[in-house]
Amino acid sequence: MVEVTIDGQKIEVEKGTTALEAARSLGIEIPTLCYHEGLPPDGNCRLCQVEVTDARGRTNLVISCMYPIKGPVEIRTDTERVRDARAFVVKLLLARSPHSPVLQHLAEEYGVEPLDARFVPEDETDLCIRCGRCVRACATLGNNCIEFVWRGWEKEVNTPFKEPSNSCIGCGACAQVCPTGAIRVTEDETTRTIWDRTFDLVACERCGVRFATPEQLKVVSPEFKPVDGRVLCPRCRKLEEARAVASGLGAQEEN
Amino acid sequence: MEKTENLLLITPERCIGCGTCELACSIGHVGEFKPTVANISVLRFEAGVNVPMACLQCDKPACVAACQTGALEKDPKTGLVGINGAKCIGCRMCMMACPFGNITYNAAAKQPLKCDQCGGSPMCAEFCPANAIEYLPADTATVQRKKAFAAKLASGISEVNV
Repeated sequence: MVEVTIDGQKIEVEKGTTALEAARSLGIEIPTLCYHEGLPPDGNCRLCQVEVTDARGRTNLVISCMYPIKGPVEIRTDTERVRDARAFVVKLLLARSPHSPVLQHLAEEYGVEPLDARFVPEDETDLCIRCGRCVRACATLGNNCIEFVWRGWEKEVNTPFKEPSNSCIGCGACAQVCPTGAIRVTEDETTRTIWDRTFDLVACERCGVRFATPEQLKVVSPEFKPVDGRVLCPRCRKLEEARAVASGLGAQEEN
Repeated sequence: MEKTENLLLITPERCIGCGTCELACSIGHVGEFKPTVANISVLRFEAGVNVPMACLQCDKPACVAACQTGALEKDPKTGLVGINGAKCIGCRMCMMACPFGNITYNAAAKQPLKCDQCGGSPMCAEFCPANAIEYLPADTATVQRKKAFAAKLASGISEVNV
């Protein structure tokens, strides 16, 4: 255990705890975009910067989501230097995605002037800030369908060769974790489209609601699959379960 | 199951189908009366047979096995399957995996929903007017009744392998 000071408050943390985790456990808010508790940290967005003074008195700006606490350090999360650094990050991100509501909100919070209208292409629709949350989510699920491609300004997240991915299961986790809403999943009654691949949704054998892609159902571990192979939506599974109890209580089969 | 101090015990024979548990659950969790987001639901059959259904806190939970980020975990102390919403990445594999459909996903809040027994004082049990839902110490008698309920389930849905 190490004792650290965060914004004047002392806290004992396990060695290796990140500065971000320690600060949040004290209820101190640090803005993040690419950090997600369920995913390995990657330090891509640079927004969670804090100032750390080590035992020798050296002060540095660090990325709090990737800074493991190893000794008794002092962390400050709201100094002028920190705010300046974050404002700079927001400014750069805003230049990339000027129409992102999330970034506009952050810009307001950190007093970043909106980009001069001359530099904002009206047809700029890219909301992606290249934080890689989606990439990490897909990798965590074991599907690895998307990755960063190209370099520099052209860098983006895409499937291999920009072709519909064969390993995609259409779960939509990438879109769910995207902090700016850049990934689009469109769904109509019978299909779901994501990353240019269109999935036919499987219909519940009881009520007919189309609720999942066949690939999603395939991933479910065989030991939890119904032995008779019936495909039911979650609602109907619950209903079947209740019906089993009800029939034990003497209710007649209905519809 | 024996590890819990208290058990949520459902006795469907007593259920009068009033739906109070659904209202109590939703007001407790989301602050409004909205049965569609409740973690317990009453399924009503003919002849006045009603069955309240909530997460069974399985010994070997399919949802936990499906969760890749550790957002769902079975607490070895309480026996409850708990959700850490911050860790959820919204893949919904828990929903696909649960054989009983007792876990749902709130797309607006980007959070999975399931019974958490209200952290130790379940609202459904508190407000159930017919004592169909009770929160009782996990002594032998309660566990026996729970097992009887489970047997009733198993006899009906032997096709679901749990």
